[in-house]
Amino acid sequence: MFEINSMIEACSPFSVHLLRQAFIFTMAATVGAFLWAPFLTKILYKYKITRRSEFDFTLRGERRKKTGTPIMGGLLIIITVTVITVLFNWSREYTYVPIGAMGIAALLGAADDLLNIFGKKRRIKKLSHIIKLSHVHKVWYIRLWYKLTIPWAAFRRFVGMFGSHPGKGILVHEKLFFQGLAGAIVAWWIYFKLGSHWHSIWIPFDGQIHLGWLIIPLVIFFVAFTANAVNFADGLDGLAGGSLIASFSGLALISWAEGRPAFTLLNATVAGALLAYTYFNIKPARFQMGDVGSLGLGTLLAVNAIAINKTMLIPILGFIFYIEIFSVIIQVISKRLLGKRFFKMAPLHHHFEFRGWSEEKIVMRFWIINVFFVIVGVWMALY
Amino acid sequence: MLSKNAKKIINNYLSLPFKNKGGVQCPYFNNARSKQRGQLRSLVGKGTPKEIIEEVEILTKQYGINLENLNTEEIKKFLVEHNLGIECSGFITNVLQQHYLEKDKINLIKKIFIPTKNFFRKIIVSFRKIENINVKALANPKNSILVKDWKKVQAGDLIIMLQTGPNNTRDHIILITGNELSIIKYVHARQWSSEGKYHHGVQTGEIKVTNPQKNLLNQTWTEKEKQGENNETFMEAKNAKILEIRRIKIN
Repeated sequence: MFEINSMIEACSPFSVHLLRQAFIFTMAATVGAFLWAPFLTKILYKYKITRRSEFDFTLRGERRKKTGTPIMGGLLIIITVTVITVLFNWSREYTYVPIGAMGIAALLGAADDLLNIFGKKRRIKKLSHIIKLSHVHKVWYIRLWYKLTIPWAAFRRFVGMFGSHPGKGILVHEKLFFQGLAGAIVAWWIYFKLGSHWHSIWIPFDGQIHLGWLIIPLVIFFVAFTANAVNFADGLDGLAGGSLIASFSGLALISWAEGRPAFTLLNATVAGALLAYTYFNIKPARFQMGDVGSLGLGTLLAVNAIAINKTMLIPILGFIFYIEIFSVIIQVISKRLLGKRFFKMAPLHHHFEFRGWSEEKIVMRFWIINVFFVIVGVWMALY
Repeated sequence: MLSKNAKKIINNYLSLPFKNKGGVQCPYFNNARSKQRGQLRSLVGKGTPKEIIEEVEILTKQYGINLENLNTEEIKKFLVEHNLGIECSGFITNVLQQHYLEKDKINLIKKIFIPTKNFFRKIIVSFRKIENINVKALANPKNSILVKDWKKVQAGDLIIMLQTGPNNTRDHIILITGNELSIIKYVHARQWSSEGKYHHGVQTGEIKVTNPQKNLLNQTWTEKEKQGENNETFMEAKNAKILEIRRIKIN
């Protein structure tokens, strides 16, 4: 019906035929997601996968109204995109790895969401305690083990500073491990499967720079960083969903302009599913994305940009997400190193909430800013 | 005489400048018990009145509490329950910082020498100077000189009590704000055991010179109208293994 296989093989840039197909994928994803959204909501309510004030310390004050809202609404996008792609846009060369990486990240997010509700509080040993144990433990090999793992313990404590969950879900260092794994799979695919052309990185207005194997750590970094960036932005109703529509639409446009059918259709599908999701997620939200959606889609955003060799455009196409994550990094550094707040609160959307902006005002302004930067990104990609 | 800004910050600690709300005494908080590491200055007992108020505003907003609806007693309770307050050396450092900035354009916090055990601590201290300034650091000969004749104390001098408290494990410091007509006035951040959970904080007091020939402990210490054994500040001074008056020395 969609003549995908023949189209994936070859397609000219700015193909009207491809554009038509992309719109069909978008509409199919929107309608498909819309149709099963009530079913998902019912399941989430049935199994009480909802935000609960007894577990969620962010549900205070004005935010108390969000208590009882189902989380893991991101499943709507993840499942819709996976099903449509597997059925109509499946290619071992192109869409197999992006969907796989998204799946790993989404599984990680799902585990985090569920553990945050049903799990037990988890603690990690203080670094000073481990150092002490490495000296005083009665068994010599355990002392040695503690000594050898001091750098890892220091890393756990350091990245733990960026965590915001109530200590029940997956810990930050575990998240980074699995995100690194997803990034490594993508890097393997990019480096070994997509050909030597992908060993170079596109620089806006400046052609290509050959990176060789250095592309591997770069890919891992962008995948993990973008996944977390989207995760941080998922704090207000409609914010992450609406901003992602613009980002994936931008990617679809760039892929179309470059004549890359598989990615044009994949990005168009995500944008379509996001339309349906955002319809239900705008304030007051019927459900929230949860880590299952934010980590999965953040990973996919990075992978799809890397796959069309537009890695350097990720911070522009996902501008709001990068601003959000940088606001957290700056705040943590300022708090821990200088003992002062840089922002009233972080991520940045909470800073504006504190300044008295309404949720709707923040969300819509952030959408507009993100749309603007997506336009900038697409414009840059055309050079 | 203390500078205008130093007096202003003392008054702000005595009555935190909340909007439309006066009379909230800044409570005492010492991080030694909660042992928070790498926390905000205001949460480890080293914050300025402005930083403490900002933290209260953020926390009340998070909890959905309207600060306007709280009376002074409730705000004080909120501060204590959220580890917001000031400890003795933090209070004095912030006051003297304002004093020297205004008077001599000197950043006192930068000038204070802090002994460190190793290179790692040295790096931490360079970033978080005020958090690492304690009574011992202020009493260090590199930072202050001994005032041998206690009768010659002046505003800005420090009464230092080392190894005091019931088990001689605490240190305490008091700032002299004036010495006129045989009355030495002082201010400090402290917690008396008789005040319960909520009624401690920055407090003024005075030492009336009644026996000039004898030492400082033989004078009349009055704080919150209490004297002698009822005055816990006096008892701390009495219990201290080392009781000195020192004057900040700028290197």
